[in-house]
Amino acid sequence: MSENPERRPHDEVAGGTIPAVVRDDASAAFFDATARGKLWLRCCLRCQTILTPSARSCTACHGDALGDCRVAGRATLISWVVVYDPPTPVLADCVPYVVGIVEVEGGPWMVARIVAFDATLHVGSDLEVRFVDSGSKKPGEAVPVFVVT
Amino acid sequence: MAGRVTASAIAGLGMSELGRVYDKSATSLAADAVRAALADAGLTLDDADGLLVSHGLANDVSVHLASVLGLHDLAVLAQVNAFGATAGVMIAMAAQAIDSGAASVIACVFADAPLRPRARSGTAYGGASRQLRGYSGLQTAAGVANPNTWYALAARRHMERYGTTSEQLGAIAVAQRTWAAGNPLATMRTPLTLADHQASRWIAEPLHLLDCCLVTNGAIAVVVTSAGSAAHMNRPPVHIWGCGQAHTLRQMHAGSSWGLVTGAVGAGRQAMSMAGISPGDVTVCQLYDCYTYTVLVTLEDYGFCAKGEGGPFVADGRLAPGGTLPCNTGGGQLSGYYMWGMTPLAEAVIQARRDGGMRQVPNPEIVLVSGNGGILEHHSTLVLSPHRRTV
Repeated sequence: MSENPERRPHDEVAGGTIPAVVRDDASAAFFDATARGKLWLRCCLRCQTILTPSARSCTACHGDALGDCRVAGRATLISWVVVYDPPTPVLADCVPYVVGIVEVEGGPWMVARIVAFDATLHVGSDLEVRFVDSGSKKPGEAVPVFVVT
Repeated sequence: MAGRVTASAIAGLGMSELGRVYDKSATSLAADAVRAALADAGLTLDDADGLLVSHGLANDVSVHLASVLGLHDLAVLAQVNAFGATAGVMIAMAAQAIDSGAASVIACVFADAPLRPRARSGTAYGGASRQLRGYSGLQTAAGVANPNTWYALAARRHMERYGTTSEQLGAIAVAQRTWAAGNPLATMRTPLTLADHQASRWIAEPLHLLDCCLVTNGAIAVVVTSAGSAAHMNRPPVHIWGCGQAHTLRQMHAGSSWGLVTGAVGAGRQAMSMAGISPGDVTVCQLYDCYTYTVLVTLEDYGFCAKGEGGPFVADGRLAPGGTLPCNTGGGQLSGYYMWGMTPLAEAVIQARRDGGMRQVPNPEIVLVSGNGGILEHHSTLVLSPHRRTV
């Protein structure tokens, strides 16, 4: 996989706050990577299908031997919504915000905030990952968000 | 592939009090509904030898319900969960158990009590406020944290692909509100216009408030028995012509049809094949309507119109009173009450028995019932009729 073209960690991106997320054992490597401005996904060691970070087995061949896989962070937009009614109290300070399903280059879909765009969004919009610190009062991990390129 | 035709029927329907009912647990509500359903059939608890239990969000109703009811000797007892598809799944399980001789009278019950005093119904499905941790925490922090947001993402995908509009979704809400006016049990009976729908606040754009279902405390039960036994009971039997289910777990990968096509394709084909019918034979639909969009995509997937043409299909008043395909005739989950899959199932039984009063359709000969659970992940279909099927 190629280098992330935007290697600045913790880009300052407009588009609302993101509540603090803390790591657990399963996500530690993922958040180690986001702290360095890199997006790590998972990859099937048998058929090389690129999978979401939380994948437990391969969606293509059902294999359960997975490894880490760094991706460039280019993506296209599959769907998006503008959330006005906070789905859960921790998001009360975030509304309204835009969240989408993005298809990361290589195949897997991720749910992520879409930030800092002027253009009208449409299915297939070209996106690129950025990383922002979650949490305001108490800091959390750096999390991926996507900007329109 | 069609399953073996069942010879079972629904012989009883019972409901607890529905709505903002705070003084009873889900288990107490479930017990009320089971007693009412058995009484409706002209039976007592002594006659029941099977009980299938479905819990909702509150998750406080279980097989323990049997001992609450004093049912100490049952041939069939299980807790069933396929989320919004559970009602149809329970009916299929009960019908199979009756057909096989494992049991003779099975009560199937759903109960939930997520509403709390002085709390907005919108908070009932949001989950607790807590530290966001790991990948699930990451998803919540990103902002997709309840069914509203997921279904809005699905609806947007359909709209972008096929040109479906918010006004077309609104036509479903308006039609169902018109039906609800004739249902004394419906929560929302004030007439609604398309302009009202469009002016209602955004929940998660593209879904307005009036695209979203209600939240209800209560319980509904039905009694399943053999068609032969049902013929001699209190009320006209509602015969089970066909059942189907499909579980299409959300595939988050390139090429996924999520949001465009649902498990209604497989479940509908299975149920209609077993029943020996096609969509053109259906005289009334009771479709799971957690959101307006769910009705639209289900109609497409059942084959009432071509894929992508659901918007124009629903926009002409076809689903409303006087339309050619009456749908959700009690107001559904949008305007009636939200008892998961029991909302469409109960209204199907009411219509098939011609108990619909002001809202009764003239020809409830073949009733199609859907259940949809998770985020378009579980689907069940039933074909019901007041007539015994002649094979």
